[in-house]
Amino acid sequence: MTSLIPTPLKEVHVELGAEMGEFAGWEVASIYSNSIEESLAVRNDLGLFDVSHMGRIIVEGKNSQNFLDLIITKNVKKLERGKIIIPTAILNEKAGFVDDVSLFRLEKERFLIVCNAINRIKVINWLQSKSDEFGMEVLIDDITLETAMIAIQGRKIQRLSNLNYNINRESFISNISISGIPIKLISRSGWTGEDGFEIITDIDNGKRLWRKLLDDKIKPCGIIARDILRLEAGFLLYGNEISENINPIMARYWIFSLKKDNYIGKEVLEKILDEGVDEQRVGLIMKEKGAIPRHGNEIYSIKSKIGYITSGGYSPSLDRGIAMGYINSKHALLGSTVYVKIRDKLYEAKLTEPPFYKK
Amino acid sequence: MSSTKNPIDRKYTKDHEWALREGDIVVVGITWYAQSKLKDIVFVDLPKVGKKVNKSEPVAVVESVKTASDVYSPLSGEIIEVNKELETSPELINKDPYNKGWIFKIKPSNLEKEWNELLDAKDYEKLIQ
Repeated sequence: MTSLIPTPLKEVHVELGAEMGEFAGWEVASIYSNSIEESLAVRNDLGLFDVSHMGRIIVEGKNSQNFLDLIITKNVKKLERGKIIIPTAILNEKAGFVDDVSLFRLEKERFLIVCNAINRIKVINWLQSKSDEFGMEVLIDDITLETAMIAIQGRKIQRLSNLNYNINRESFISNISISGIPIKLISRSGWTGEDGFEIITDIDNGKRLWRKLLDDKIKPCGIIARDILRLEAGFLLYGNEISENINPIMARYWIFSLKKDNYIGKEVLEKILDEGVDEQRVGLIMKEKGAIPRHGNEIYSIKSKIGYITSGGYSPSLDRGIAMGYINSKHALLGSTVYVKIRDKLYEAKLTEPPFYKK
Repeated sequence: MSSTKNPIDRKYTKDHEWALREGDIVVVGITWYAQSKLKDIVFVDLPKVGKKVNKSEPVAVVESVKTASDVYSPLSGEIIEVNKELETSPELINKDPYNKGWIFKIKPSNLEKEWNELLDAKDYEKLIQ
């Protein structure tokens, strides 16, 4: 076992009595009090998340724009300073996901990639090897371990007067201070289906900011609440819904552009669009209250197995079991009834289009 | 009231169930430790009344936000009652695991032998330390 990387904000979580757990090689806060209450706080008020485990990688140099335009599935050349492409992806040659990422243009020749924790080293290696392969030199700087990242998410985001920045979605501002605490970057973004901000700071200021935001009565939320919220919002989790073997079309994850010039995976994407896909991602809402689908459960039509669950759980907002999974395209009939096998029993579910929860 | 203390009036299993004798029947639930690991219980799949079970056989399932966990019968016998309140308030197991959060009652078929095989509170404490 390799040892876990503790989140740089660990001490503030321990102070709060959080239960620490493992996520993608990191030691993170799983639960502060109760993950149902934590997730409902975001839906009804505000929640605070430590998302420092996410990868933060700077790519810079005179080739950076043209290089990233070959790597990223959306148009990097059109990305203005202060704007974000979110979400987008890095695909492999077979159009499978290396990762889904967001791309920030910090300067003309300086970009920030925010990637999934589990893929940080893989993405860095991918960037390095493609830069060598294309003969396009760029400077790649992993700033993950020297920074902290905090998300504030929720329906009542307007109540925070100290965060009253006029930042549109898909935009960010750099080097400002919040209640006297200097931060590197604040963006209008998140992963909960609610409005909110994500903030990158150095580690000491991250701790100060966390404590300040707690004073503003924002409920701290652990990684389990974060997973509930992203499932309710229908967001895909790397390792569950997407992987190196899953392409954006079967995932029905429209994070690519076919209008731009070439990028890795584009030709294959066009071929897949022409030929169609054998299986695709769907949402499922369970009919019976107690039926809670989990990752790995099988999906059936009347008699035959037609798919499998990739993420499932209990939705506090719906008070029902919900799931995402892949099913045979012939059976991907939204609105139809299917069955999920849970502990050898079939439970009725309705095929639906995520998100499960709408603002 | 919820308590982290394991009452000495009952026996325990290494799978974190408790068993309390009430005349010739036995009440079964899961321990404070078990619910603290599961957290946020959202559903309990209760056994059918009348079901005959063997000792250590899975008879119920407790679903929390985190995971699903089997509940094993501490004794062989027949399920004679289940806690219907858990159908609408599964969180009773989190709030009061040793009283209102009981799961099922069993009429044991081999009580003399099997009761002595269960752990007392002191041995159970050692197990979870």
